[in-house]
Amino acid sequence: MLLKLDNVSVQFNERKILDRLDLSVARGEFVVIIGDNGAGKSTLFNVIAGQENPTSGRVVRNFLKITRVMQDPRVGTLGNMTVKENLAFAYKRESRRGWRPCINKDRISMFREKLKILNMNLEDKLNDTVQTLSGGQRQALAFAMAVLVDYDIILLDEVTAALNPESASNLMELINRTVRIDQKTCLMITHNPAHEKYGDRVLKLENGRLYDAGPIKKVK
Amino acid sequence: MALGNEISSCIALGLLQGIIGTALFLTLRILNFTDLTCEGSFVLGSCVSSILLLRGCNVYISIIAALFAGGLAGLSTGVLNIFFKVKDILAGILIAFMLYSVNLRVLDVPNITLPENVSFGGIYVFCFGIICVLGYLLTTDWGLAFRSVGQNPTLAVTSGVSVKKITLIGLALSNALIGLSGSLFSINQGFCDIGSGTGLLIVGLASVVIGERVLPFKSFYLKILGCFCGAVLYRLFICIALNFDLLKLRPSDINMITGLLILVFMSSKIITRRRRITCC
Repeated sequence: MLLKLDNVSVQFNERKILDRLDLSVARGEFVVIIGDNGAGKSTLFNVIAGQENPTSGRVVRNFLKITRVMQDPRVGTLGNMTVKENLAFAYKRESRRGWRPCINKDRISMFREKLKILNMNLEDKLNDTVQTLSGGQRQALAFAMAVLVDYDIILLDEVTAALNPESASNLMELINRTVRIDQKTCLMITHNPAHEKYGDRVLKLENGRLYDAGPIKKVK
Repeated sequence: MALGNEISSCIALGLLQGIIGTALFLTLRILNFTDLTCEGSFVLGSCVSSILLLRGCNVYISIIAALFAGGLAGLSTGVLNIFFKVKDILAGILIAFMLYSVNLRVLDVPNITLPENVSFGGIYVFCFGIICVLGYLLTTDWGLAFRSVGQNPTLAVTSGVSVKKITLIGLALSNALIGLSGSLFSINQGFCDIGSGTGLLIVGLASVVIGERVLPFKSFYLKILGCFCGAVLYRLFICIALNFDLLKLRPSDINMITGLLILVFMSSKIITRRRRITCC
């Protein structure tokens, strides 16, 4: 088991956000989590990422590297920097940042290869400032930055919420392809029922607990 | 001949103010930290350097001491902001306010004249060095982390960048540069005055704003060069305005001219942007 939450509760003042919640995620699994606004989905991700400690319960993390893509692409990217600088920033996420130039030929060709896979025409925009990109391109870049260096588990927090239906669908295809090819574990929060099909199972967060949301139609 | 002297004096003074502009560029534009320590750290650098020179110390050692003194002032602002949760503006104002007493303690009197044999001809070398070192530093992996703190602190934290450490380093570096400028200023002018820092923040801001309009490039080497060009241009504008008899301006009008200059350059940026949008 890659991740196990055992009887986890999170309480803010008198309000219980997560209430004796159990969750087990196997390596390579794609889990979709749905739930109403304020149900505690983001709190759950904060607990998994270690950014928030549970009030009670146990979190077992059998992984080293975790990465996360947020709802707002502006949070996941550096708007005033170029695409290549953003990727160079993400490239050094797990290692020491030294005094060498952040951009060199090797890195540029590597970034170009990585961006080609996204199929969002970003490989031709390496020198463009990120704030000139469209919302879809910017979120795709945020995703590319999150998966640029090796990771064990990825948390996707309503990544398509700020996008139009077409961009959202393209991004979901891209995420599904990348996660499946890399055989990585993925947890995704979504409000869009159309995106439930990408998961191996769908869980609903209600009253601070996770329930099985029933069978889903698998995507090819 | 008099005009030539006037211009060379404008360039020398402009370069010294360019260092302040560069320091403010680091904090205001890159770190997104409104640091108002500069008026205090400038005088601190000037006082420390002058008192050491007066006691017969080597000019280079006095400059290095001013550099460290300025850095320490910046670090204090950072500590107030990060560890005592004092707002950036207030932290800067508090430190600058306290530095007035510190500077008087260092100098003992409100102003002193430096010995006549003290001189330093390396201002151009210093400025060139600052442009090269900072320009390079900001394009390294560490420089990216430095820039990320001002742009997106949330992403910086999740990417393993220590926002606190970078802010402290940035403030120390910026105020060290201002201390250096204060030291070079007193050596260049031959005196040190406790009130010489008044209005420096606006002068530094003018350098950054004019520089950004004169050299609107993405390269950090050019951006920093722009701060120096902006400062020199600012000095030239002031010099021309005060020497142009038709305008009948007096030295006391300098604040008005400075304010108007900043407004003109800032609004020209907005007008150009609007025109571009209309054209599209």
